[in-house]
Amino acid sequence: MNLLETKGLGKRFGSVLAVNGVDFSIAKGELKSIIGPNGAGKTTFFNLLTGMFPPSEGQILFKGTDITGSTPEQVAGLGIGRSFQITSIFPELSVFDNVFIPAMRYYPRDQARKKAMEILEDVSLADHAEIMAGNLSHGDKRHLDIAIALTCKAELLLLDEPTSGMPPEESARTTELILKLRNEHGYTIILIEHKMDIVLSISDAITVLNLGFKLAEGTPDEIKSNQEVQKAYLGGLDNSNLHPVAASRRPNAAKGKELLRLEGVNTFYGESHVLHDVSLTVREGEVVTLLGRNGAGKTTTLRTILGLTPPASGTINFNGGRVSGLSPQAIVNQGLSLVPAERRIFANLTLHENLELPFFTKGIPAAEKRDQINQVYQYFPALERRRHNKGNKLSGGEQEMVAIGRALMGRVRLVLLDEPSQGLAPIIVQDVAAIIREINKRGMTILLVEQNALLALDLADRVYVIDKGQIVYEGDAHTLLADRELSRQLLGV
Amino acid sequence: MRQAPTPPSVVMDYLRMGILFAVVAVMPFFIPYVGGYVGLAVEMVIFAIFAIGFDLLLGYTGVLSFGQAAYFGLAGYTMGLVCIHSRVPIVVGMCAGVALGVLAALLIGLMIIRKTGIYFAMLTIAFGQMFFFIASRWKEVTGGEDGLTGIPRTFIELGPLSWNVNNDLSFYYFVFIFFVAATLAKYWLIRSHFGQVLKTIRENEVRAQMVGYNVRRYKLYSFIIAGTYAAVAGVLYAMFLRYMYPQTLDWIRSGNVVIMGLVGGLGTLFGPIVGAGVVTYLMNFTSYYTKYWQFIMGVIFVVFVLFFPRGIWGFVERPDAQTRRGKS
Repeated sequence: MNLLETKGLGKRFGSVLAVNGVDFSIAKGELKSIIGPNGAGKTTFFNLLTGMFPPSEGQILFKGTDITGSTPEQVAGLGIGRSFQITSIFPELSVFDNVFIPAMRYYPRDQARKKAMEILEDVSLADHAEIMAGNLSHGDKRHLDIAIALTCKAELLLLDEPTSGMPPEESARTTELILKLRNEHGYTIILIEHKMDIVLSISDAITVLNLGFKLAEGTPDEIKSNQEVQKAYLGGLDNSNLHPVAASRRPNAAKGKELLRLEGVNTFYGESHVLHDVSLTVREGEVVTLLGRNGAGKTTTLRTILGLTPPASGTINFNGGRVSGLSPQAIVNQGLSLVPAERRIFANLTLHENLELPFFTKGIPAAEKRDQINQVYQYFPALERRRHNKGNKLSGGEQEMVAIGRALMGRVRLVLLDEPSQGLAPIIVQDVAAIIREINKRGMTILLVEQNALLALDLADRVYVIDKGQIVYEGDAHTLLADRELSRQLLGV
Repeated sequence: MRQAPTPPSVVMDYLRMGILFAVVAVMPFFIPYVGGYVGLAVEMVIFAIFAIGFDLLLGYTGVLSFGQAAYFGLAGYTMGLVCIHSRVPIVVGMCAGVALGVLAALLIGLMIIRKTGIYFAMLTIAFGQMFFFIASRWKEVTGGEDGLTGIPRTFIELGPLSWNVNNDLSFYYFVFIFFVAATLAKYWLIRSHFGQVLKTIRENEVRAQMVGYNVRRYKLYSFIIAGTYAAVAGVLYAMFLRYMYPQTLDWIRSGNVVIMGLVGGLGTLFGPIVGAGVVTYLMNFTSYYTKYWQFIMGVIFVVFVLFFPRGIWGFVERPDAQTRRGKS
């Protein structure tokens, strides 16, 4: 019998279907993984299972009983423990109390003390029992997060990216822990994970989500060879829809002046080492793509360039001058701008006001400002008709256009684009691609970050592939595009 | 298999509390030598009771309320009105005051506990100010801006334990009993399972819920307990002054108790007591010497927030660890 089963589970946020009719089941003792590109609905699926919010449709059955609509505390009481993608512990309590206090919910005090120590032994944290949890290393915090999930007499464990932010050696330790929990302690485990090597090696079965749908399901081998899955990872587009003309497009591009240069850049989030010796260059007039899976360090690279997460070591030069160490404002004023993945359109300003915003600090004459805004309306005729609409009344595609348009305002020399295709329908993605191409043709240099490989490779002159914070490939876009074996190897699926 | 860490020794805690009680017990005799008087000592201890309860809410649960004076003032007014308009013993008036204060905390808590952070804080101010305006406008009942005069503080009738609290010194020891009870109750609460759960809510509300605790109910209980402490303090304050005025319900009074917690050290047993004593004393002291005393209090507050975020007691306990505690 299935321990947990969902029938047509769905969640709607406004007009977006984050999870759409997902049928899923797991038998006692199984280890199943859920994978999928960014925004596929994986964490939302966990949130539905744990009662963080009620599903819009469908049913959740645990041991055959309908638990749809239960509160998080009720779900925990049933024996479903959950760890979090972003480490969720009690930082100012001791490691012991982190486990002991939750355990008191299920055991009398003395038994809870014993149970807490057992759990800490299991995750190899018993030696740190008296340390303040916030002072643990990143890897130990991730393990403590799992330990807390074990306190609720859990039968079913939901682990949300337990190895996120870990270097390979530590990931291996966590993988061992997951296997131990399954094999020696008999937990049933659902694992969300981006590191394909881990997923493929330890899962009994894999479920692939894409844009809220269940795309495929099967053994690791079946998933590896599934065409649909490759497409989801390598791009939401059909190969036939693309026109890989990069080779003939701009023969002189490589000769442009060096505009941006990163050398040996290392970046940390707290104790988590995210970028390892990243070096890359962007020349004037180029489109350079930084490609990699979710969590590979793409957005961090952009944040590092802009000084939002300053590098711990290494140098960043822009237009011949050093910019690493400067404040984000100072860096942006040298002519860099960002199109964030979440777009960050100001919801209560009109479309036109959103475009005017960058000029307030830049001291640019009114005539030039007018010209530039009109230029954007020329690029995106659809926007001109909606210029008086509030930001929150725009569709995802329109928001992306405004975000790109806004990034062109002022005397910008390099645009950093963070996943412009995220959350957009394939047809809109093509529009956005056309616009990026057009902007570039008119002389703008672009550094594009994507996990949609086909889109990115189609646009790019040169490409870098980043994996686990390291640049693992550098070269011509069309070479990589042509070599499916190489791209499969680099991009995972 | 390693042993679980031994729970902290209770002997030391009781020893420390014993020392605290001894010092507070003799305060009326040494306070004149440091520029105070018995009445000031009474106020210090009453506000300590208020702050002890408030700390359970902010320091332990991580819930910031800017409206605690509502329960303080409501209880004081109720006690006064009951005693003025009827011939019941003072004890009955006191119980009525506390009961109404607790009831108000329960009802308001039920309405607003779902809100978090700044929204919760704003709602507590809104409800607090509602009581403030009632007290200042409903002249026929509350005396309006003139305040409610004639609150009796004469004789506590408890059979053989009857007590004349007419003079400040005897009233001080009456308040002292409440103070001891309030401190011990808080100590037992924070060591209990309930108190431990409050700490997990302070540290990470979502996670506390995800391990199976009904976070909303715990927060509500914490809110009601803090309201109870405020109500007890309010009743004692009304008796002490023999008078209640609208400003006792004002959000500035609520803010004062926040300051007491921060200056003394939130999330500790002794911190809020020290904070209430120090702040009450300094307010009295500075206002005696200069009309710009509020400026000085402001500077002191800023200095603490910036340089001693764990407050006086946090600094005494762990001078090395001066990071912010709680969510405030």
